[in-house]
This record gives sequence, C-alpha cells and structure tokens, in this order.
Amino acid sequence: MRASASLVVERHGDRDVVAEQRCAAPFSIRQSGKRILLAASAAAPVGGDELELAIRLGPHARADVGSVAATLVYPGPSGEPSSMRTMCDVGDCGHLDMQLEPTISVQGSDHSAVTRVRLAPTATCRVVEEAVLGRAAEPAGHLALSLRVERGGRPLVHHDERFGPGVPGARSSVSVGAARYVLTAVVVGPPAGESAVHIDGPLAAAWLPVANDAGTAIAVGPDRPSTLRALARLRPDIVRFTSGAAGERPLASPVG
Amino acid sequence: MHAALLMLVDGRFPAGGHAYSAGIEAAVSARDVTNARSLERYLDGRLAVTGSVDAAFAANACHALGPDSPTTDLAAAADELDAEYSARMPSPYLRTTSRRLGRQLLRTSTRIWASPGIDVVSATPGGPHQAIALGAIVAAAGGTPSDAVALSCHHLAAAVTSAAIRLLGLDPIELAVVQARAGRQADRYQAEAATWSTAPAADLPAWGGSLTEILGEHHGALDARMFVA
Repeated sequence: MRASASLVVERHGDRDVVAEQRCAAPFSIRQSGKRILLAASAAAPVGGDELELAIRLGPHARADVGSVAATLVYPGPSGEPSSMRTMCDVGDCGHLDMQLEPTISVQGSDHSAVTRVRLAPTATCRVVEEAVLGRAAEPAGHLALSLRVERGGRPLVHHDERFGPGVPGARSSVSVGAARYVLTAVVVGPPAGESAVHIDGPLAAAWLPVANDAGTAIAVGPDRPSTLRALARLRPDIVRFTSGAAGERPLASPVG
Repeated sequence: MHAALLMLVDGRFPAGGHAYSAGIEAAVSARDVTNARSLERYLDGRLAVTGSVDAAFAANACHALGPDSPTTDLAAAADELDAEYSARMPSPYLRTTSRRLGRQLLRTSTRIWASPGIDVVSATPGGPHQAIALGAIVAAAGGTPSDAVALSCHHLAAAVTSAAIRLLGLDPIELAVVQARAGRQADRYQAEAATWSTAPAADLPAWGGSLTEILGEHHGALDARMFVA
C-alpha cells in the first residue's frame, strides 16, 4: 500500500487553525482538544507499505502532534521492506511539538522511518522519536531510523541508526547494548545548557547540546518507563509526566 | 601510491592518534570489550556507523577541497562539510576531540603539504574535524577519494586494535588478523568513494550509534582515563 497524508496549520489571530487536511487509509487525523492525533484506520505498516506524512506550520503557528496508539511494524507476505517518511516544515516563530507513540519492530519486519524537520530561522520544535525493539520476549526485526533537523537551511542534528539482530555491532556498546527501548529527541528553542549523562547498568541517557538553544537527547534502556524517568531527571522538558493514583507515569503526550 | 601517503598511514606519524582509542576505553570500562572476539564485534559495528561517516566525509573533502574541486568557493564547501559532519556527532565532547585530532593532523601536515584546501580547513573555528582535514591533506598529497576512504578506515581500525593491546593486553598478532579482516570492509567502502566524493554533503551517510554518543560524552567527564576518547 502506498498512502500519504498532509496537514497544514496556520495562525489566525490568536488561534491555530487546521487550514488543510488530506488523508487516506491508513491515515486518519483527529483533533483532540489542542492536540492533533494520527490514528491508523487500517493495519499498517506491513512489509511493502510506503507511507508519507507532510506537516506544514505557517508563521507563528503552533501544533502539538501525537498519535492514538503505538505503531506495530509487521513483516509483509513476501518480505518486502516498509517505509514511513514524515516531512515537516515550520515557518518563522512557529513551534512544532511532535511525539508519536513508539514504533514497535516486530520480529521479521524490515522498516525504515525517515523524519525531516525544516525550521525557519526563528522556528522552534520538540520532536521525540521512540522505538521498541521487539514485542515482549521477541527479537526485533530490522529497523532503520533517520532523524534530521535543519534550521534556516543548516543542519542541527542528523542521526541515522539501524537496529536488529543482523546489524554490525548489534548488542554492543557501539549500538544499544541489550536495550529494548530507544529514544531520540531534538529540542530547539530553550537554552541548551550543559551536557548531562546518566548511566545505570543497561540504562543510558544523555542530553547533548548542539547549539546555544538546541540539543538532542539520546536514551536507551530495558523498558520505556525507567528510561523516560532517567531522561526526565537529566532534562525535564523532554519528557512530560502526569500524576495519577499509581504515581508518576510518563505520558506520551504533553499535558496542558 | 605516492610515498608521502605512506606517512599518513604510519602510526608513528605525529598526529596525536596515540591518544585516541575510538571509544574502546569506554567499551572496556563497560565490559563490552573483553577479548579479541568482542573487540572484532566492536570494530565491525564502529566501521558500519562512524567509520562510514568518516570515510565518506574524507572522500568528499578530498574531492571538494582538492585540485579538481567543482567550486571556486572552497571556504563555503568547507563550511558546509563542517556543519554536516557536526550534525552527525551530537556529543560536544566527541566534537571537541574530533577537532583536536584535526588540528594535530594539520600541525604536522602543513609543514609537508600546502594547498588552498588545507588553508580553508585550517581556518575552521576550533579546528577542522579530523575526517575533513584528512580528506584535504590526502588531496594535497596527490591521493584520491578512494585513498582517503582507505586511510580513514585504517586509522579507525588501527586506533581500536592498538588501544585494545594497551588496555587489555590482547595478543598483537591475533589483533593484526582482526585488523586485516576489517580491511575487507574498508575495501568495500572504497567502491563507494566515487559516489561519496561527489554527493551533496547533506546526502552523505549519517549512521550513528546511541551508545557511541552517550558513552563518548560520559568518557569525557572522567578524570582517570588513558585515552582522550
């Protein structure tokens, strides 16, 4: 299946308005309060699927983009790879907050996810990508992630990484060790401050400033909650929490 | 091959490489590398990520900053390469180390070779990244982008194996065999040299490893260490 979706958000007066929205299965786009949520209206991606999502924010527009559920990547019937491209453009003084639910690489799948964020010189963003390497007690498929953020035409961060049992150096300290959860985030706007690293057994997280007002977070760990908690201690504005009866619980979505 | 290029291959060339372990010291501390087998896994992994990035940037710099450069604005080409390479190395400590190695490589090389390309990389604020300086120097020494790829991979494999001999006391003969096997990957990369040398810098490989960046940054904060990185 080849499918694409696009979304345009513009600032009208004191409101952010979805000025244009086009989507076809498996994409569906819903607004939930202030959030824009992607929902899968069909099982995707499976091997052979090529999906593309384009998001454009006009000058001064802000958008908070998430998804309703994790993306399970399945192998296709004849072993073809699947791909997802997310292309984002943010106009001057705009802000893109994008954190989709994690991509889960199922055994035997072969998926590549490419995210490109082009910021105007005064635009800002918080973009978080999460992947889970296999379902419970299952080895991962082959997964390649590519995240590139540019500002004013110059690259701030370009990080590509391959995961899965067949990757050279898999499970070593070059890659992600024994970790089953990986996160990469890029935050542009707030003062980046100093770098910070937290390492505790299989859990490792770092905040790495790349400019005075931009940095990337990289974290790997045995599971999502413990890794997000460690990252939040390093850099609270990357992960947002909600308090519930069960105590602190990381939310995929920012609150408020 | 030009005899001068052999100097750049030689571990005794005074370019500061003896202080660089390509992350092996951190990997040994994490007990990820303990013997020749785990060392080879590390080297294979490293060649596939930062090794491919370094080789591609060295090849591209060799072409873009060499005598056959397609542009007359060498400073703009060097600036673009610097920005693209930096974006692929988010750890501030690893960036600083890469620029330090680039400066050390230039310190000796500029006494031997001269070219407009070497002049522009020498003017990079903080020093040029090692891979980019290497490409400009290989071009000035009469080498090709393919030579730059081979040299870049050789530097990585030599740094990893010689540091492992010092840190773990592994058998140098066994590690020479490991290094020779790594050379086959370098040979495969040489087939990419033509593509890498003319590609836009933005399209060059950007493969990285999460723990490469995290452990690299962490290593920089340690007081007791034998290698800078």
